[in-house]
Amino acid sequence: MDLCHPALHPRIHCDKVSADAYDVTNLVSADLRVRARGFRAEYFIKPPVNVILSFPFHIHIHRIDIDPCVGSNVSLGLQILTHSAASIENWLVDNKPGSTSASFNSTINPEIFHLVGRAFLEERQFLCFKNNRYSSRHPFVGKDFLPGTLEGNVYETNLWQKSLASLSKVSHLMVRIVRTQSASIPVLRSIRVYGQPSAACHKDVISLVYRISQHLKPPPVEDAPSSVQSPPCKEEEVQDAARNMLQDPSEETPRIPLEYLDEITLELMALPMMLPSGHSVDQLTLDKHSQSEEVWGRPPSDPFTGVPYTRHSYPIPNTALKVRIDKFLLQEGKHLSNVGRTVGRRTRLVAQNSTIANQNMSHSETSHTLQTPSTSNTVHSTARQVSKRCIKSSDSASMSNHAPKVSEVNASQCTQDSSSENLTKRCSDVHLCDLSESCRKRPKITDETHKPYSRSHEEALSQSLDAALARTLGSIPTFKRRRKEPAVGQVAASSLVNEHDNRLHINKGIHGNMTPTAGPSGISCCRCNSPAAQNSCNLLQLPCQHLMCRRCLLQVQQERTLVCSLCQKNFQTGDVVTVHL
Amino acid sequence: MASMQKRLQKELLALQKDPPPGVRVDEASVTKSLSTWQVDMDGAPGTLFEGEKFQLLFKFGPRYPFDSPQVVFTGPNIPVHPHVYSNGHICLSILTEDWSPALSVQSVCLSIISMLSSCKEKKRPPDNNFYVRTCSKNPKKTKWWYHDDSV
Repeated sequence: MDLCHPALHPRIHCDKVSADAYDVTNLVSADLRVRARGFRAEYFIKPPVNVILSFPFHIHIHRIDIDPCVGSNVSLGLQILTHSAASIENWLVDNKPGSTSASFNSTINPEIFHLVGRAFLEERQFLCFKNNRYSSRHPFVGKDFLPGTLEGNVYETNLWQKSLASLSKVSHLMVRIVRTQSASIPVLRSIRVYGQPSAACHKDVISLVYRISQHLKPPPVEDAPSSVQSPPCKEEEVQDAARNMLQDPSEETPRIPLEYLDEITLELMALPMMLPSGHSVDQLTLDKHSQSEEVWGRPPSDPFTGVPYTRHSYPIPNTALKVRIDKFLLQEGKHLSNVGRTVGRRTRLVAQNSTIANQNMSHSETSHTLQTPSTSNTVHSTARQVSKRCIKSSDSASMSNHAPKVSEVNASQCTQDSSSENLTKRCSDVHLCDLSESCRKRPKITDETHKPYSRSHEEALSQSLDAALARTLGSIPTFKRRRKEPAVGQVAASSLVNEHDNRLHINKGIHGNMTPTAGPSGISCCRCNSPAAQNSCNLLQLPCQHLMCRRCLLQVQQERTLVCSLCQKNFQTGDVVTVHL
Repeated sequence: MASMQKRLQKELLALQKDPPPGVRVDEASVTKSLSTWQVDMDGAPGTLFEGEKFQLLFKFGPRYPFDSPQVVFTGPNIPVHPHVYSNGHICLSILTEDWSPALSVQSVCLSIISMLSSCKEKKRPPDNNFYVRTCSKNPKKTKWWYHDDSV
């Protein structure tokens, strides 16, 4: 069994200063997230570093697993030393668990330890020290008490039995880091000591340990020692630890690559925007910056250069970075909490702490979402993932043939659900197209399938979709103008759909946005009344929203009578905008 | 708030690890509260302020880095400079309206050192006596009028 398990309250102590949030007690912490961080010495510490584990009873060591890599830091040279104190204070029995170990351990002289194992690594490897003479005794027999097999790049070595007690009656175990990779800081990601209480232990102790071990039988899936076993501690304890972590000002999320962090706020970017100056920052940061610029009466500007945005230089969504951040979040997301995100689900994270079962589920779900091929447009691919799941849960088999199409419906449905104020028009356009084109049952089905999933993801997704679309389309003047007149837009869209049934429906959605005037007769020039289809030349939009074909416009221009033939309003040649069909 | 702390922590670390010449963060002042820093500063060699030592007091509001920090000279020695009032207030545009979230404590320190270094004559601002009697404690509440680009 794992003798470093927090339930057994092993004490740990290090003779050197450890970095903030990477204290040596992380290695035996009951909080999974804290535990996953591991131990890292302060950056100026050089080897040797002694990490001393003391156990509440004598132990018989079977195997010691050590992961010596934290981030880019690797400890390459490690020694294992043991000490067998004649009498030890059993804090398990005395019922004083979890007290600080410093005073207790500082009295131990490193001289009294015996060297029992040594390893020098050449590269990043998982370390495994084995005791070949180990045999399990009653009641610690059976598969449950054996450590799982190790996978991956493992460096195995044997432990030496110098004296009778040096492996089979150990009270203190010292891991000494004697060498690190060049310029690396001494680190330890995790220590696992497998074994059983020593034969010399009192019967009561053995039975107590056995009882504890029965409580923390690992779940069947989590056999591999590399995966973090979850402690059976009470939920309050976990919440307490989580709260402490939130309050801890030195809390870091070391796994997030720097390029995913906003340069100004140092938070993970939810919607990275590329500035004219080349920096990428979050949309939220830009909004806040624009607000504070407004206080001084200035237009929104690039925070790095102070140059105001113009028609040609303004922040654009950094989709490539967004793709990478989303991929990272989907892979690592379960370790990250309280970061802004548009993928992965927050509720899942909360549930993860309480039960192991939930954790396993989230594991499989995450891997499921990753199976779907990622396309360059993440927003789209995420939408597709959602839709694929929706299809699975819904019973209509016929729909699965049109997966990409359905995803569009879902995307629009999501956006609509969020009832985002300024873009509902656009949604309804897309929606209308889909409706008129195919079955009318779909919206109902998607509504139902929304239920099993938490809202947060869909909302976040739709917001990200909205924002991205608004930003891209916002640069097109016709789009902005059209937002003021939603009613006409819908008519336009539906009539368009009727006309061009063969076109891809997504294109229609955009056309619906951009085609301003359309009576029941379709789109035509307001002067010569020739419809767009017959007229091979482009249609142009006048400031009064009416259309005129290029030929008529040129005539009008030559006659110097720049007047709309429908409403008789004057216009300037510069105000005319091309409409693409 | 969390974002402000994260940012300040990073800046503190960077300033401790790799400070600009003549700038030191008083770590004792930071351990009490992350939102108030005291920074020790040396006059740059070869300038009128060579050999002098100053202290700057930074106070960060909850909206930092979107809002500029309050920066004043403090301690026994306040530089005699046409843009520094005798109560420690500094007339520097990046501390109020020209602040940008891309600026940091380090860049503010560098700007102040550069402001001191380019001084040609040690004298107080012309309205020093009046300003010191009437001003608010918070220099950000003053409506500064930035008129001199040369120093």
